[in-house]
Amino acid sequence: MKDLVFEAKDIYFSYLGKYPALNGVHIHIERGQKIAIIGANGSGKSTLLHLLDGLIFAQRGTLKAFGEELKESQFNDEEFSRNFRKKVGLVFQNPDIQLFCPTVKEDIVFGPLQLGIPKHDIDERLDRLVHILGIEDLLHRSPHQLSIGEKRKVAIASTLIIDPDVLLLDEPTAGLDPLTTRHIVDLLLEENLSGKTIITSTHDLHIVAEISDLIFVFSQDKKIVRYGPPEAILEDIALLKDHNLVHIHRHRHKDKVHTHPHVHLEHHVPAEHQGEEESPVD
Amino acid sequence: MFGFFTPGEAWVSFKIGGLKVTLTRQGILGAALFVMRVTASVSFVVLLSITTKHFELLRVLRMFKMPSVFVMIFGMCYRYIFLLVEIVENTYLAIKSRVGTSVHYQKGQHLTAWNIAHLWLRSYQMNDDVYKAMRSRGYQGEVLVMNEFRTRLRDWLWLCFVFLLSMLVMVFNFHAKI
Repeated sequence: MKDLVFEAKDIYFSYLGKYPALNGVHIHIERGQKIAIIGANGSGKSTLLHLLDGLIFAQRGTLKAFGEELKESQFNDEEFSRNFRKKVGLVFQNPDIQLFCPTVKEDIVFGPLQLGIPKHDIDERLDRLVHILGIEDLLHRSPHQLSIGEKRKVAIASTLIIDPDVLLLDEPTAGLDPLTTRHIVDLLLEENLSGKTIITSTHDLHIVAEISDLIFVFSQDKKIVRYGPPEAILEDIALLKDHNLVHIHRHRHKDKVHTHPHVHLEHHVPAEHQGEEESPVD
Repeated sequence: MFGFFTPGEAWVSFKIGGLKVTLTRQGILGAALFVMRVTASVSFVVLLSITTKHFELLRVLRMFKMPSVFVMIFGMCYRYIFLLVEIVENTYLAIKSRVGTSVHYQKGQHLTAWNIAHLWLRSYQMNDDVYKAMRSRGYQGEVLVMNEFRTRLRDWLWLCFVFLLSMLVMVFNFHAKI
């Protein structure tokens, strides 16, 4: 029997009762999987992550977490709430929302303090994480003084310190430089190797193949239009184009200008499979 | 300062609309003392705020047993005020880039009103999002914070020095005659 962490059946959610954000979503996520959720802006990716984190609740359909149906009333029970928050951590899309304490250090330790994790464990985890993320120098600074990359690292640290079994990340690499993106991807892969389930919402197709075993593609209808392994999804250029996930990219190779969909696959080798065009430089 | 508030030795007298107004020596000295005290108090507050990190001030509030929820709210106000100021600045820059510097005052009032409404909506949305972010990390209505403030020998020495200085000032004040 599969060890499911999340099981959603026909989930429906709308904002203010009139703006649909999810429209009949089915999803099964197994323990230890790497999942990527891709889709255009406003396709419901963030809403799904908020549902999975028990911050909002489905208006129709059922969502089970760790085999138990998630309902708003359950979160009134402190014990249930604390156990759930220890198991599931969310890195928000906007780090300014997530970093609300006066200093970086207070922000990072906020979660474990609320969850009753012993102080010596918090100190150990803090030391390990700040070392891995290279944010030792930021601990006594105020979050508003940080760059976007630093804020994202601190936001990730503030969730990872809880040591959740399931890590939800809402566009963790948006607006980051390539090296910082690399650090974050490496960190996510390490966390997955240690047994964590990683669920990432992104439009960053550079990283999708690495951070996923399974991709869910959301459409503008707020539904999952397709799911499958990265090699199958990322090679389906028509699907990606239909959902605003690729554009036509034009760049130079020595004396030739080369045109192909911007998908970061191995387009340079099997040129005949990618429908690319080459033309001499003007 | 005026004779009808602080009677005493008349210093200057003049008439305003047929009404005789007298400034007394005691009144002027009292007003000067008041202004100096306000100036000194404001200066100390400014000095404290520019020489001490805001999160240390918040820690001191916790030490004085102010409820942690109030301290948390102060901290968040300070944290988010920068973000809101940035939103206002960016909105004004966006307006400036599209309409230039000179706008008819009625249009200006209209833009300002929209800006205030927009800011209110943004802060309301942010309030909801921050609450979600807090809940996501285990917040259940009561804030638990790390208390790392430790007093050291130099803190106690400084406290003794300040106490002695205050006593000396009080003694001097008691004996001094103005």
